[in-house]
Amino acid sequence: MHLLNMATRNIWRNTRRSILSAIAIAISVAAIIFLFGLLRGLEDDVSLNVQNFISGELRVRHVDFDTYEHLSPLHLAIPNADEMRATIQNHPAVRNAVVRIPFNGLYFQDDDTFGIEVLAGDFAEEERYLNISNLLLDGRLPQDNTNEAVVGSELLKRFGLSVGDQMTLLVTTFARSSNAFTVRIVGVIDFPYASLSRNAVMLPLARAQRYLRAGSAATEILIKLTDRYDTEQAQDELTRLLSGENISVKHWSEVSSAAGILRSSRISYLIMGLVFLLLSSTVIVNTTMMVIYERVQEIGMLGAIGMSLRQIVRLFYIEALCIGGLGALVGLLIGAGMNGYFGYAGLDLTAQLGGADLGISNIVYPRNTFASMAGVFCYAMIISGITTLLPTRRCAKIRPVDALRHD
Amino acid sequence: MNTYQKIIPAQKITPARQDKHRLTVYRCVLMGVLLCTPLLVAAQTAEQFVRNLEANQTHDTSFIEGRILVTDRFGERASEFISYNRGSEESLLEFTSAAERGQKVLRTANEIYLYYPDASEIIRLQGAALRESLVGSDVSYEDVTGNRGYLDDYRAVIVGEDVVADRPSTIVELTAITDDIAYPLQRLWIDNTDYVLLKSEQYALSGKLLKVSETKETIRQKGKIFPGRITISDKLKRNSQTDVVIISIDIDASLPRGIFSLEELSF
Repeated sequence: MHLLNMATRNIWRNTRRSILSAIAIAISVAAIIFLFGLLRGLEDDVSLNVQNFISGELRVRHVDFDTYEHLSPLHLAIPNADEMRATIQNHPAVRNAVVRIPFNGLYFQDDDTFGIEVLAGDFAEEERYLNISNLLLDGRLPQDNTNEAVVGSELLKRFGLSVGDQMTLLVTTFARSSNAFTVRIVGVIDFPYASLSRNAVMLPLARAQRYLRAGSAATEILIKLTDRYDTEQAQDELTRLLSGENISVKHWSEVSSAAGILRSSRISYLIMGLVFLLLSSTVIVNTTMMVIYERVQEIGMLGAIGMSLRQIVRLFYIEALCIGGLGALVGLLIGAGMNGYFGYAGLDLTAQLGGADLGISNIVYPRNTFASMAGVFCYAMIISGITTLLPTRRCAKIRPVDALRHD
Repeated sequence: MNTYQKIIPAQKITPARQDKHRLTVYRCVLMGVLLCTPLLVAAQTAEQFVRNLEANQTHDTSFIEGRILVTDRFGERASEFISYNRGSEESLLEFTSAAERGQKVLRTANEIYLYYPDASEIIRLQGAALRESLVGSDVSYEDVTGNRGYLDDYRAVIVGEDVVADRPSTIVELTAITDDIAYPLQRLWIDNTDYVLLKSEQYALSGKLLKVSETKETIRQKGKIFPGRITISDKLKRNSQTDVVIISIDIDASLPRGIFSLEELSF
């Protein structure tokens, strides 16, 4: 109690030094918490995009489709896909299920030919599944069973097209033959993937089924699960439910490209976080040690009036913990506040991403987690405290007469 | 005008020396003629083989009903078509099978146009798009663009003799002399008697074998013999084969007026 009072008095004795020290710690903590929140937001964004556009949480396909995927085997389809979707939707584990046909097409402009990624889906289902109207940048969504389409924003720029223009696409059909059809662009979508933004055209499922000679078949059903259901259990139950249909139900981690994206994202985010944590640690260490070495004479004086080495070390340790705690608390509030604000308003990374195909949306929403806030707060306090021990011990060992002469 | 003349001292040219000199010149000429004659004959024969082949396969006009059978790892499927042809440069292919009904491919002297009933535009194929497959078969649009004669684009050389389906044939190797060509090297097995193309191989510039075509049946009509069933195999695809079967052919058929025009294509 006696040392705590002394430590508190010391803090206010040199207010400017204490505040500067606390600010340094606060800035470091705020930056780390914001970075961790941003990384968490990026991870959420990547997994959401993968689940929205690539794999769902579970993906239903013809059992042989993945084996021959490189050959675009549209004929390896799910017959009566709508009926199967209804069956899947009735399972208690399923929050939303959508029927889709992703396929490739060729677009001819002037004397050149361009590869186009076409995604056919039911827009009413898509609204429930991924809230597609939120991705609409311009125009409107296509009406059901029309020749209308929405396209990626970069595709419009790439081909000098605008809403209202037409595109004719040459495609391979479910009968493994060819067909071409013309669609009218009615809207522009902000796809989170650069490749989709540059190449993707999205059109109504029923119309695509007609042009692809698909009947009521489709190539995949993507599923999102309710939070209370275990994914593996849901996968097992749905596999049993759909057994005999010649289809496979795959967890999104089994879909190699999707899992690979997130794995590499997690690793790179972790490396970024650790690097930043180390950098901020050097700021805290530097500030704390500077404060100690500035006060060698004071330490000598405390030794001269009879304080033991242990008492001196404990005094400075408490003082550092108080300053560190104050700084970390302020930093935590700032960092968490920034995450809260950008988590609501969104952080526009369009310029930073520069069209890179990382599966990250242009606008990212950082997210606070209790683990990262508590961890960073404790880490800052511990670093501040530990870094006082060595220099204080060294200073306290100096003879009082030498310490008092120290310049 | 100044001219340079080499002056040979007269006293050095004796009659005996003159005879010896003449003999050497005659020997050189004779040797040159003997060496070059087989090559000249072979080149002429190769060109003649190719001309005979083209004369046999090209008709002033024709109307064909046919079928394309595609067999690959996923099974077999068929597309049926009718085709109007004039000379070697113009043709209109129209699909009649359910999956492709109404789709048309128009080949004119320099262009290929595609018409699809579901599209509001006619597609003109150019460049890399010509390598696309015709209704998912082993035949590319590039393969049906050979509107000029072989000898306009290739140098022909006989490289051997072979027997294909019990028919003696001559192997003619065609090496491209122009850049804008689908296959830089081709080998043709031409029937020695009927000048039917019994087999052909198409190669890339690297020497890689790209396609093999074999004539399985022939049709004889109005003094001409030409393939009635050809099996084409794209060697870049695994387990894939396409049979083009001519069900019926009417040589010198009268064709509808303007059949090879863009207006008629989308009509």
